[in-house]
Amino acid sequence: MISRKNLWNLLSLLIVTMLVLTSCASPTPVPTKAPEPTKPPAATQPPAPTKAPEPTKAPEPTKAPAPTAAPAKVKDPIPYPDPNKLEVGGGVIKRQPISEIVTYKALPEYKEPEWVTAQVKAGKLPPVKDRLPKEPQVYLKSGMKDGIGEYGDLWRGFSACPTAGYNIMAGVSMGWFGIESYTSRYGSLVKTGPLYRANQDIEPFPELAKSWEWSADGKELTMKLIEGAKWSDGEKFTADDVMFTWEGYILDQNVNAPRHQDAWSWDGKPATLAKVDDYTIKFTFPVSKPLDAYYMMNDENFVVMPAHQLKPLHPKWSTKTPKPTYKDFENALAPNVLPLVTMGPWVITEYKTDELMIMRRNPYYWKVDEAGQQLPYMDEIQYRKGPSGIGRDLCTIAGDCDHMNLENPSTFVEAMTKAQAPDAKYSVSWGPETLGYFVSFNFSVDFGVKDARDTAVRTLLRDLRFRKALSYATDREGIAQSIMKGPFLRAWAGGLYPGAPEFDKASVVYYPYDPASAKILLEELGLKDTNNDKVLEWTSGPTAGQPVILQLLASQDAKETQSVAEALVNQWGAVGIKVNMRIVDSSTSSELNQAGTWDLSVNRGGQAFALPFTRITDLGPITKNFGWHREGDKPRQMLDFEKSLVDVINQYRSTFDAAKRKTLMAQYNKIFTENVYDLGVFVGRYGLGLAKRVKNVPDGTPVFMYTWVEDAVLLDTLWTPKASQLKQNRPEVLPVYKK
Amino acid sequence: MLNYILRRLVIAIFLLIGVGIVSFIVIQLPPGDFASRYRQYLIDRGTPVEEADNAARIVRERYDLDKPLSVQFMIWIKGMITEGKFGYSFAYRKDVGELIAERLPKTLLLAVLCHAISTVVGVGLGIFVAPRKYGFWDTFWSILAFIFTSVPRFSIAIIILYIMVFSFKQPSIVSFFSPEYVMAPWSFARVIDMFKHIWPAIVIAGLGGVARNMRVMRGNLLDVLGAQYVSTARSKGLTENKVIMKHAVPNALHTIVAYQGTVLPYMMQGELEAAIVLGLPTMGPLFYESLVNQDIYISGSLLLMYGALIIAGNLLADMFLSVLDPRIRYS
Amino acid sequence: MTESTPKNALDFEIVEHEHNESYFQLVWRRFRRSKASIAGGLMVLMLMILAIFADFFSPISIYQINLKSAFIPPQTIHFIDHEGKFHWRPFVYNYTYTLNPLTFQVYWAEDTSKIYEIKFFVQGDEYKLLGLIPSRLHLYGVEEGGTIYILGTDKMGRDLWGKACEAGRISLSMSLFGTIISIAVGSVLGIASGYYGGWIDNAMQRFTEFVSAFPNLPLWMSLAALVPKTADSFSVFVVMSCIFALLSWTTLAREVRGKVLSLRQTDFILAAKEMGASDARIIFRHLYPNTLSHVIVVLTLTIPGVILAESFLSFLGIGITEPLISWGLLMRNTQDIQTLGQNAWILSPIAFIVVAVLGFNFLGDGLRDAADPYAAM
Repeated sequence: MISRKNLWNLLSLLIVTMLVLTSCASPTPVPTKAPEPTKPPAATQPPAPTKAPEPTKAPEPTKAPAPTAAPAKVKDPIPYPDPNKLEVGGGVIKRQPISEIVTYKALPEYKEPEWVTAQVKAGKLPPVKDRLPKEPQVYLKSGMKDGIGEYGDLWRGFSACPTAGYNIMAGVSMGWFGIESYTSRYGSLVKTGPLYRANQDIEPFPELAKSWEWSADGKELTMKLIEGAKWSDGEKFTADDVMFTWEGYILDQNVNAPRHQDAWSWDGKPATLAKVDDYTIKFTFPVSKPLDAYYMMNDENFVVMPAHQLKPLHPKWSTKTPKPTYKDFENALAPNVLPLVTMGPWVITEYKTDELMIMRRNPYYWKVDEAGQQLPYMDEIQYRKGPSGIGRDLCTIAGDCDHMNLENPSTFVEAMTKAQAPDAKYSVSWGPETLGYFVSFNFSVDFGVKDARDTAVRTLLRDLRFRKALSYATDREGIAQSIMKGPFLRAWAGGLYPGAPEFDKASVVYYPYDPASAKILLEELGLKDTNNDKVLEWTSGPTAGQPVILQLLASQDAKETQSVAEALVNQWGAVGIKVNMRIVDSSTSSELNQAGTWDLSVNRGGQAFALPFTRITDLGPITKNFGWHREGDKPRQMLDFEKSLVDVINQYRSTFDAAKRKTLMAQYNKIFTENVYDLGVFVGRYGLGLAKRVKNVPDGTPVFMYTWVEDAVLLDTLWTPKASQLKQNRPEVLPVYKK
Repeated sequence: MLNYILRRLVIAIFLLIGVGIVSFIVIQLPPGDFASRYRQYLIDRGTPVEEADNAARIVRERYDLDKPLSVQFMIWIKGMITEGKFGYSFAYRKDVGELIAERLPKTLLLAVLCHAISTVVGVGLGIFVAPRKYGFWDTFWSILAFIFTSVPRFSIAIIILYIMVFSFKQPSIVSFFSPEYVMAPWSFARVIDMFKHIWPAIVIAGLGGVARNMRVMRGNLLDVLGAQYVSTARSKGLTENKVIMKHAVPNALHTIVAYQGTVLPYMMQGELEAAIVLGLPTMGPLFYESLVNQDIYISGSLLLMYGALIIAGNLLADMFLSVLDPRIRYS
Repeated sequence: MTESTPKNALDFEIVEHEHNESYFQLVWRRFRRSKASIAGGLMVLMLMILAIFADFFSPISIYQINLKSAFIPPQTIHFIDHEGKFHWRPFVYNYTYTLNPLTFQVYWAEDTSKIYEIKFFVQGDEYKLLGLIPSRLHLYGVEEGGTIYILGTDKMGRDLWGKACEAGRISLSMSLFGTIISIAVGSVLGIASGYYGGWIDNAMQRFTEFVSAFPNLPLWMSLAALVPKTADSFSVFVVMSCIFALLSWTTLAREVRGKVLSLRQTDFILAAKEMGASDARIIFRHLYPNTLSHVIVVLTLTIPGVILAESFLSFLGIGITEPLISWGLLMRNTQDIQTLGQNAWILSPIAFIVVAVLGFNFLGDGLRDAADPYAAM
């Protein structure tokens, strides 16, 4: 093909290039020289907090103990270490009685922004006194960090979900990221989000229900509703709206409500709701004082819908011909049906699909501050739209949005670094340690089992010795440090988060990193490496001779689960357990879970382990669909410790005394961690990035506690000094409804 | 002529139907559906499993997801033909046609701008380098153009994005306008604002196409410059510049003009890549999101739409050519 | 392909040629004249060698994960130590970090207490050369206790240089494999269509037109979303290659058809027919070799498109996933907002993509010019 001479030319050229390349590759660009640490000089070598007297205490990844000294005995659990000292963020939350934060009372005089008064004078609007209820809700000065505020300013949000419509109780997404929180969700019976500021967490914040009373036997709950409040279009709000929401959404199985009647049932019997008079309603429960009911009346689950607008469109009551279908009803409030009729502080007035949403102040909003100023302080909210949540982070860091939630540890450093810049428009604060990543096990004996291998794997997963072995084989500190260096993330045994209010450090049974112990336990289980390939095999049963290979799921969306899984593949591999990692999207993971065809999975933990009472069913196998132990066709075989867990949870459910609840949770957590019900890996904190100019944000506001922060921050009480207020898109405009 | 065009049109319609069928099948194939994603989403947000199961059931019933594939396909096609509706988006709860209608103008605008840049720059460079064949500038511009083609667009997009946000604090890069201009009527300021936002996408996708145009132009021009009549023009004593601009360029442009139609879809794909990373509200990100969410009618309709644009582009190109060069008609 | 194989159809053609040089010699001569194409060819070759012998070029095992050394920046190669002393042998310092207690930003600094000399052809981690031959030989390395990451490390603490070399295996072979499939399909259809004509031609033409009505990138995206996440690595690889092959063959089929159409009427084909040669013989002996140069050009020009598409899909997370690794997948990690500010070096795989695409483009461009050696120069 090529003459010999040419061939040689080519070859020599090739060799030269290779040499050039390999030598060129060496003097690579100078690495980024560490810039002078901005303020405090960083301590030497391992990450030591600035003032820490003993730098040795810094969380250097735990070294595996030398195997030579290992006696043939499994190590005992060690006390769970104290949290690392954190120099940043984490403000202390001021917890006070709810009555010091809100109340309902008439004030001698009411105020409104001047431009609204101008509209009143022009005859476009009734005077403020007539727009407010007899006794409006009053935010007290004692509950405001920076006190009474000033009117004006624009809040800039960012949403990465499509806005499908505004019929929020019919399962229609308004676009999340706070869009529902700042509008419709203010129209719930009670509010649980701000409970992080209350000095108890049983009684929620009053909202449309301003007070309530339990009957003597605890089976009846009578609620007084706010009197004379008006919807944003000026129509009166009454108990009929509540009844419409109850009958037309919650009791109607054809409507995609967040909680249906089955959820409103206790011991299989449903609760009922009746209207007593225009401003009084009464719940009747089959059991005494079911506390979780409060959480079904909150802003996520019981948003009162405007009957005067929607009842004529509901298939049950509609007199139109042809009768609207349920699909019509769900979509009755399409994104362009504006302005929105709401009880919330802002009204969506304009929306351009996937580009921009504008909300203006609701002139009929029924809350005031102690000085009598009608809320909200801010006149306008704008929502930019984008395809992914990263857009919000970029937008906030660029100083163009006012709020971001930091949920992925891999973005923390950049967010904090940029926040340190002198011209940064936002600051970051950190909540309690409630951001945890853990491995869950599939405990079902037969559900989703296809062959002998599956049976053998489930038998292993159900054996405490195996779970303990995996726990001993996990270098939790190492994983935490690889994801983020420093004291920010730390090892976690599983069970309750260290940041949970009911967490008791003493209750944690913490198995330290000790591969030697893991090996002893695995040998006890009869797993041996019979063919010297560094992978253990079963030595008995139908799977004898087969290697132990586990499948570990990680989520495509929560990136850190992948890092954890990748690390576990390595660490468990070191004790002879081969792990195949599989990254699945949420659809696949949903399907695998429903079919029960999974072994282990890395998850980012939810709220249940921060505030157990909000998600009782996630705590243990109470319902048949409990994620880690689903019931298939055959009744499930609960392990002994699972039974005791269920007992504790049921006791906890019906206990009101805070001290007793804490003891019960300690009990729960002990059983949980002792038996490695899930395998906690590391725990960190959610971070809150907020615009610096905004006042009245309580210290230590958590991103995710009782609810996500959007529902907890009480945006209607936030304000900005006149000097730093932003220009509004639609200054001095109020929503106008077509009659 | 008319006959030829008619015949092409009929073929195009059949092609379109075929593309529709294949698109729908492809979109339907992945395991799971929108309802199962929705269910998982609810669970992730803390909804109890029972409620999420129920919600998924309602969604399936409501949107015919429980019906067999063929029925779903018939519903889709029927809607398109009888009502001009492109199916229903589960995530947006509205007709896909409306969604596309909102985004198509922006998409076309971006694509046309990218296309204009790549053509103008490419042709210009082609004219510039052709007389300097194998000279320094020829090599220089060729290499540069090739480099632009070779850099993955998503990576330039992401680098520009970060630099704009972090270093220049350019706000709202991931949109078409600043908020104050989104709903404003068209004005000069609004156009400026728009360019401030979309230039990365245009530059990234546009420069990627420069090499191709430049190569074509250069080749054509070289061919033409070797032709008889150019020599004649030269012998008449015209300056070389005049020869090129007056005689050679117009003739060399033919092919470029003729292929305008086929280039548009190519540009739309270039735009797609940049827009997905930058998050501009065009068809690209919508398509990607719908694939991830299994919002099947969006993905199906968009595939169909891209197919239709390609077919239309080819049709246009063929007609252009048949006008320019009557010999083509018989092929 | 020299005179020693006179039965070849090509020689049949050149026998009459006055230069008495083989076709490929002519091509080679023309090709050699274009520096860009030579450079392109070398770039491609280099990447292939790096990919095939990635284990050898990487100083440590390319599969090794070490969480403790995540995100180490590229290490500088020194000749002069911190005391100003010159060393003949290049060396590196290990990196240690300090933390900013307010932002937890990691600052890497050189630990100048110990010099680690770079040695060439050292014994290190064991690997299997070409998957077969066990070996411990690495191109370069440092002694025990030292590290040498010339492009830094990624979040799993893997050597990015070794990883990028390895990623070329998938990126290059997948695009090559996909293109070869599409070439096979395209030439078969093109030749059949051009040679037989009639209804076969018509049907093929319509089919080609139909397939080319699909938008490449969007269809690739939707097809890639189909690949089951459970599938084993090999099937994912094959399926993804086929997806890329699916749409790329149409251009080739058309061009080959045109070429065959024109060749069909040439004297030597007619003569072969006269002499009673079978269809198969004519196709494989006479027609196909004559379109080959064209095919090779299309091959080299299709590959870069596939490389770019593959990297985009992997970047979006709908292409291949770990444990397979490609350049696009390496780029996926750069989506973090942290990348540019904290660890910009993980963008380096871009360079590999650019070099590959550029190389193939230059190569293809040169080949295209050269493939027609009888054209006026």
